[in-house]
Amino acid sequence: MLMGLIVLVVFQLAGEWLASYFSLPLPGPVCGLFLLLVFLILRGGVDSFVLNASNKLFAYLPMLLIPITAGIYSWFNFLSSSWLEIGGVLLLSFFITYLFSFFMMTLLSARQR
Amino acid sequence: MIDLGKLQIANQVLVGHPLFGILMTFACFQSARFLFEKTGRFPLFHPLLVSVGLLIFFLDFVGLSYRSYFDSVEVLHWLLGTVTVALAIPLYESLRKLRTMFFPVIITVVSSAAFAVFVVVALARFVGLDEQLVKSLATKSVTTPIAVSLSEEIGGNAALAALFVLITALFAPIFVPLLLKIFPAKNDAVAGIAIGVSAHAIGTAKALEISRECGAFSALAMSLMGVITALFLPWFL
Repeated sequence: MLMGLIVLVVFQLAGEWLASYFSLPLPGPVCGLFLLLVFLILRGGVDSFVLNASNKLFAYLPMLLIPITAGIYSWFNFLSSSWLEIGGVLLLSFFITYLFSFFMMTLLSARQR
Repeated sequence: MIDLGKLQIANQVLVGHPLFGILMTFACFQSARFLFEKTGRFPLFHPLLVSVGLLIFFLDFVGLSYRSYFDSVEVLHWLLGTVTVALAIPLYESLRKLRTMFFPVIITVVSSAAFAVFVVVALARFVGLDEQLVKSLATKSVTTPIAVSLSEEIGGNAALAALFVLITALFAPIFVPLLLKIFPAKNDAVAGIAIGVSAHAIGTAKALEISRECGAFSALAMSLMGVITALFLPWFL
């Protein structure tokens, strides 16, 4: 667990460093994700200790999201005044995006057969 | 006889202790997860939704401001970045397994990533929402750990972004069965990609109920969608 965590945090910090040094318009952790992806491709596999650590982290993902999501506390008044517009936009764009990718994938996978 | 002055000081020490915020987070999550399992994983009782509700109630109850709560649990927030990095692992594994459908999948996800942002931004501006809100909505099709940091990058609000991602994902268990009944999918790859693109993690859980293959395609679409959006969004918003 600890060894895998060390590897992940090293990649996270390397990502933060790279994003800051080259002033990339990318969040540091996403930059770290790309670094790890390149590393895995070059290495040709995932070491079991890294896999174990990441599976344990994924199990607690909703909990790690609590601190930031609780920030909606300060937006309650605002959300209660425009929930209808926001809900409508979210629902409509969910349907449109779903149908777009559904039909595009149907079309492209038919062509390949 | 209880000394009221001392009681007040002791209470302040308790609430002000950094571990108090961490304890509240753990306890709210544990209760929320318990409730979720007890209700047979009913989507509206999603652990994140319930724990945030519980937590806000407790913050109010003990009189702790959100700011000081967040400061005390900041280490949990940093670990969220670690989970983001770890997303490379499922992405790598599903890309490696993807042999036959490589180009259809890549082309569909890349264009859907651009299209999803375009649709939500256009709709949000059309109904006259303000710019910070538009930016917080822009990441709604991206898996939450990426959406949170991406939203901060483009000048949205991370809390709102997380909430909008969650609401979007909750549409999946409600509407996907209906959508699949009206438009039956030709194969599990089509259904999986469409679900992963539109409803990320909670959608992927739904896709896994359809079949393992459907779940795998959904997970792939979800992580590709996240990294592709992260690559282009900061240049456009």
